Formats: sequence, C-alpha cells, structure tokens
Amino acid sequence: MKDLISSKSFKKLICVLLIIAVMITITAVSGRSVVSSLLSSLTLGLQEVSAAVSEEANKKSYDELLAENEALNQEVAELRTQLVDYYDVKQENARLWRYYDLKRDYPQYELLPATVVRRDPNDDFYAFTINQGKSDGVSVGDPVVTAKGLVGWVSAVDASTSRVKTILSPDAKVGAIDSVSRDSGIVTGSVSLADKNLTTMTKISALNTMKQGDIIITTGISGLYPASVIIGEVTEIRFDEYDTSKYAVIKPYEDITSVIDVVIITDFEGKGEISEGSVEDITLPASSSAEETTATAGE
Amino acid sequence: MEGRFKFLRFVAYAIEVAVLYVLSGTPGFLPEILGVKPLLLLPVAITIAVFESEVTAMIFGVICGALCDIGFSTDIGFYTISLTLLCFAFGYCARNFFVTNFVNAMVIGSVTTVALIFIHFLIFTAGSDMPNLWGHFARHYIIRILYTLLFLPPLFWFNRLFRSSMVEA
Repeated sequence: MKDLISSKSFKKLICVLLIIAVMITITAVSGRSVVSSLLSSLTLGLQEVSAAVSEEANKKSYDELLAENEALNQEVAELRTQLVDYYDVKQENARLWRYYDLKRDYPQYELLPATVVRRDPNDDFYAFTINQGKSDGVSVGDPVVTAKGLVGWVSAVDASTSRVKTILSPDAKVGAIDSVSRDSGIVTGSVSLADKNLTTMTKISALNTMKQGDIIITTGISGLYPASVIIGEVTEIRFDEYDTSKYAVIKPYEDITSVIDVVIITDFEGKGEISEGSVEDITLPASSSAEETTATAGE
Repeated sequence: MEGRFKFLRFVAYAIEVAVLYVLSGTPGFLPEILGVKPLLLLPVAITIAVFESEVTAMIFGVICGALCDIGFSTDIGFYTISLTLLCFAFGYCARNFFVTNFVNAMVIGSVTTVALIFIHFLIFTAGSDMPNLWGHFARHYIIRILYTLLFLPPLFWFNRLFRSSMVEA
C-alpha cells in the first residue's frame, strides 16, 4: 500500500482527480460545461456520419415501399368511397330536412320528395327530370315546389321518372295574386327573362297597386295548384310593348335554374276543383281558363 | 519500439472508445430493449483497464467516464470520478495481484457494472419523487445492466485479440 501511495502513478491519479474536481467546480460555478462542449465538438462529425449511415440502413427497401404504397392507395380508395357516401348521406339529410320543413308547413298536402336526375340542356326554360314517376304516385299536372316556393309542374310522367316544366317557361299559366295589394294575374315565363331566373305576372289590371317587394302567391282557384303557395316577389312593373296592359317581373325565391331537390304535391285539398267563390274575389275569367287549359292539355 | 507500440495501442483504444461512444448514441443502430440502451463505455473502460497499466487505464477511465456523464447530463461527475478510480485500481491490481483472464475480467466487469449502475440509480433516480421507483428500476435499470453485460465478453475478446496481435507484430 505504501508503495502504491508513494508511486508516480498514484500521484498522477491524484492530479487527475484534482483536475476533475476543478472542472466540476468550474462547471457548477459558471454553468457552462467546457468538457462537454469540447467532447461534443470532437465527436460531432462522427455522430453525423453514423447517424447518416444508420438512417440509410433503416431506409425501407423498394419492395417494402411498393407494398406500403399499394396499401396506402387501397386505403385512399376506401376513404374516397367513404367520403362519397358521407356526402351522399349529408345531401340526403339536408333534403329530408327540407322535406320535413315543407311537411310541417303544409300538413294538408300529400308530399313526395324527389331529386333532379337530369336537366335538359336544350330546354331554354330549365325543364328537368326527377326520380319519381307514376309508380310513386306522381301524375301529370302535379305541382312541384321547394321550401322556398313553386318551381313548376309535372308535364309528363313515366313509370319511374317525371319531367317537370318550370314557371320560367312561357307554357306556365299559373293563377297568381299579390299577397299585399290583392291584384291578380297569370304567372307565365318569358323568353328574355328565363335565363335570369325571372318570370312574369301578366294580365294585371291597369289600375293595380302592386309594388316592388310584394310577394306573389298562387290563387288555387283552378284546382291545379294549391292556394297560397309562394311563387316569388315583384322586382319591377313594366308596360307590355304590344298593348297598354302592365306586367310584373317576378323573381322566384328558389333558384330554379339550378334546383336539385324538390317536392311534388301529389294531392291537396280542392285538387281538380274550380273554386267558384274565389273567382269572384279575384276576377280572373281569362286567366283561370288559361290555367286550366294548359293543365288539361298536359294531362 | 515499446513506446511506439504503446502509442499505437493508445490510438487504437481511443478510436475504439470514440466509435463505441458514437454508435451507442446513434439512433436506430443498437436495438432498444423496452426503451433501454446499453452503456457500452463501461465494459470498454473495464476491459481496457484489465490489460493496461494503471495510468493508461486511468486515462481511459477518465475519457469513458466523461463521455458517459455527458451522455447522461452534459456535466462530468459520477461516472468520470468512479471510472477514473476504478480503472486505476483495476490496472494496478491486474499488474500486481491477479492474472488477467476471461473469468477474472468477467467477474470484475460484472460487479463493477452492476455496482455503478445501481449507485447511479440510487443517486440520480431514487432521490426523486418518481412514483413506482422500484418498478422503474426493474423495468429499466436491470435491463440496462443485463444489456450492458452482454457486451462485456465480446469487448474483452476484442481487446485481448487486438493486444496479442500487436505483441506478435
């Protein structure tokens, strides 16, 4: 033991321990580890090289990447299908909510929800085909509406689909009344206004008191449309260019040019019956007969 | 000739230590067992110490200890002091008291590894408020001890082969 203590090696050990103690003290006092910084700097290059090598070694092989890619593609396809389903369900949900609202607002009507499946590009008045037909209880002349108002009527029916003409069409002849001024007339489409989602109310009295913003509703006197279905609002009163009568430009609340979900009113109180009492109030001899003629022709 | 031989050994040990230090810290190189990596520098320092003189052993004890400490907390301390003292002692004892062979080296290395890691646990972990302390010891420290001991035999044989090949050369 004496030999060890008196040896040079032991003295070197003591020196090293002292140096370590000094370094620990310096580190503790200054808060900066000189040894740590020095060793880190010395080994940094090696660390980077080994990390790069390790990263390279851990990279996936071509086959592994191919398999992973295939799996991911499959997953993407599945998720895309799910997403489409999700949008379908979402649309269906929105459609049913609108249907529910209508059903609540008009409990006296027999309603049948439908979706536009085709829109004829050759038709200038935005006629469309819906996915409900004769087998679903649809018949020619049935009014077609949305929660925002009247859209048109069923002009032709087959087993599972129906063709709908819109109120933008000049073929439309709907007995209508201004809900504010009680002025009456016939709502019919116009070639020049249809592409702006506008229609007209013709045969109105020269002494009418209609004004912009008035809401136009159906009269229901012909038995073809239920009474008080909203058609749109007056945007302008104009003079007819061929005679002195006036007509009103009506803007439907629904964008008929792009409507997707509609509801068919398959039955309502007074369907097919001419309301005589109403005729007197509304004074529509010409319009009433015109409306009926059109519908009858359709049927 | 002896001086040159000693210098070459010194350089070779330094490279060995540096390489193992880097590899032990390289992400993804050594597989982790339950999140635990081995302390490669402990068996390296011990296996160098049993073959070398006390001063050389002490120098590599300082280096390995400092690197262990830096890896743990960026400050030198526990492993630096303990490995400096132990490697000096192993070097001295190997020269004067026992023959360096596989069994002796394994016994010394195992006892030292277990003792150092356990003391490290007592000082740095047991004093903390960590819940389920001994569960943590069982899951991490025992695995670290066993994993570290796995490297003791190969490192002993490597250093022995290296030394004998240099002597032959």
